[in-house]
Formats: sequence, C-alpha cells, structure tokens
Amino acid sequence: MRLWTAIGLSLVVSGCATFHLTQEPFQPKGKKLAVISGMTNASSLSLAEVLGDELGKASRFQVLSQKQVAQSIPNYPQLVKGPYKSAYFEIDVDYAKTDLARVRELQQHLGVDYLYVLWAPATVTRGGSTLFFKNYPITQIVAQLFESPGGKEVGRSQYAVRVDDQTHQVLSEDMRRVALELAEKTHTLK
Amino acid sequence: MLNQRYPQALIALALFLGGCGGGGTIFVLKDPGYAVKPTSVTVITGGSEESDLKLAEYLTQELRDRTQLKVIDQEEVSKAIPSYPIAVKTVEERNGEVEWVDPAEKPRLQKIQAKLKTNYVFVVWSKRLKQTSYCSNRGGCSNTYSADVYGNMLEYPSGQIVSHTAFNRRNSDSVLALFRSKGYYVDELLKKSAEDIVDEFIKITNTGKGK
Repeated sequence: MRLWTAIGLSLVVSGCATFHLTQEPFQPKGKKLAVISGMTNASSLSLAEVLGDELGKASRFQVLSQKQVAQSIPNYPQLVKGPYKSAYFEIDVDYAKTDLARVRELQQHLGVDYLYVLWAPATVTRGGSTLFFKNYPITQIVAQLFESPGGKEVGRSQYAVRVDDQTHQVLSEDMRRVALELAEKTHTLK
Repeated sequence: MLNQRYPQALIALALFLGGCGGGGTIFVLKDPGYAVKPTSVTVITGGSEESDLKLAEYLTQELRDRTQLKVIDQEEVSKAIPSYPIAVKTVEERNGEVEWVDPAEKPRLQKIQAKLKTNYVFVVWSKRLKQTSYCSNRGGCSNTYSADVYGNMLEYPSGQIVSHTAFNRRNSDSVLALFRSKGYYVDELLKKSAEDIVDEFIKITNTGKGK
C-alpha cells in the first residue's frame, strides 16, 4: 500500500518542480506572508488554508491564518484574474494575464511582505481505481509569489495535488511537499 | 446539491430518445403561456469552476448580441457582487417541476437582483465536465469532451422560476488539436451550448433583434 502511495505521490507532486524563483538571487526581505485564493471555489479556498498551515510549519515565514486574511480583505474571497487563458483539464498558463493591480491592492490590505496567490480552477478525475492503484481526483494549481512593496513577482508555481474522493479534501502530504520546496527555494526552511 | 441520479437519468433518457450526440431540454418555459418581457437580464453562474464562468460569459455575450434584452456584463456582475462567482445550491427534479435552484438560495438571489436591478436572473451551471480518450491500436488518440448544462431563469420582483434548461453537449477533437490551444474544444462546447440556449430562447420568447 505504501509503495503505491509513494508511486502516486511521485507522479503527482514530485515529477516536476512545484516552485521556481523568477528573481534570482533571492533573499527574503521580510517575514510576513499570506497565502490567498484568487478564486471563490471550495478547492482553491481549502488549498490556500492547507498550504498556509504547511508553510507555517515548514518555513520561517510568519504566515497569516485564513481568518486573518478574511478580516483584512473586505469580502474575501474574491475573483482575481489569474495567469491562464483556459483551465479545464489542463491549465493553459499565461503569466501576463494576472490582474496585477488587484494583487497590489490585496497586498496593501494584508500588509504582508510576501503574497502567494493561488488559483485551482478545476479538479479532474481520469479513469477509475483498480485493485492495485487508487486513481485520485487531481486538482491543478497555478500560483504566483509577489513581494512588497510594488507587488513584484518573485516566484511561480504550477503543480497538481491529489484530492481524497471521500472527504473532498486535498491530501496534506502533497501540500507539505509544495511548502517544503517553497521554503527551501526562498531560503526560509526551518 | 443536485441529486446525482435524477438529472443523469433524465439526460440519459433524453439521449436515448433523441438518439444523437447530445440531448435534453435546451430552453423551455415552465408555463408555455408566459410572455417573457424584452426588458433586462443578468446571467449568473451557479458554480465557481472555470467552465461555469465561461458558460456564463458566453451566454451573456449571446443574449446581448442577439436579443432585445438589456444584458448586464459579467464584469459588472463581479463588481456588484464582490464574492462572485458564488456557488448556488441545486436540487433534484421534484414532482415534474424542473427547478434546479434550491429554494433556500432564493433570498441570496433576491439580494443579487436588488443590486443589479434586472427583470430576469438567468442562473447557469456546467456540471460533470468529462474527457474521454480513445486510442487506436494503430496509434493516435482522440478525445471527446462532454458537459451537462443546467439553467433556470427567475423573474423579478416575484422571484418565480420561469424557465428550465438541462442538456448534455459533447465535442470531439480532431488532428487539428495539435495546432489549437489547450482549452479550445471545451471552449467551443461551452460556446455552442450558449448559442443553442439563445436560439431556443429567441424562438420561444420572440425577443430576437430585428423583430
């Protein structure tokens, strides 16, 4: 069972990098970070919460809770135009499409040094499970990390994580991997 | 939530009876004698996935371009309702009445309507978006995409549901897929769904431009 879990996990999150810096060399200029959802759907919101929690554990960033985020941004969650042309079964990424003005506005509301905005526009199930292999629904995510002040983009992410089909919750082990990689690459690993 | 079995059974029956690649009810008035007034309408998505948003966008565009109704842009809807898109809960078919909007959601829709001030609110959902791949043993694969489209139009100030929509649409890719963007065939499917709804809408309500 563990073998299949490991194979499944490696196929989903560790096949490719889940985060890369767009500004190098990178040295963090502050500690306050918020993870927010750029969409109003349940999967984006739940992912923002799980990643925020995992990042709080894995990194030296002081991560705002989703409660603090909701208190700081009027009417959170809100739709922020994301970095893609379409996103049904695959995300057709186009980083030029992000509504940067809106991102800067949100950054000001939150008063953080770093803002990680994620979009999870679709969860896809392909085929059924077999006796030997559990086929999890997969949520695809695209995200950007912005630095204050000015909202300069310093990092990008595109990855997929597994969702438990019973609880509809993302598997926290997948998000732990994402958080660890982000912490490692931003030199904030605990 | 929509009961999984009833709408699927309904669509399966429609497919069986129709004997074609997609089927169901495109747009039907609950009371055939009801006259839709050529006033104003807001399309809102009842789901918050990418396909729901695109369907609402395409339906808005089609209604604006082809009917006499004043149609509120999705951008304006977003501005008026900060947490838009909101998930509008749905219910199964009851007593032959095809009302997808959960009655518990009506006060929320009423608030939205009060902000947008249109005579009609058209709620649409795109559900069960699927991709089925077929690979031949001579090499090469093709994909068929399908989605179930649901809709209810509500009239205000009464808040009554005046129409229903429930159909399945499919679209298959071709060798040209190699040269097309990733979401092309799903976009096309959603656009065609919106076009079909407005074709029926115009036919039934007699509100087409140029009338």
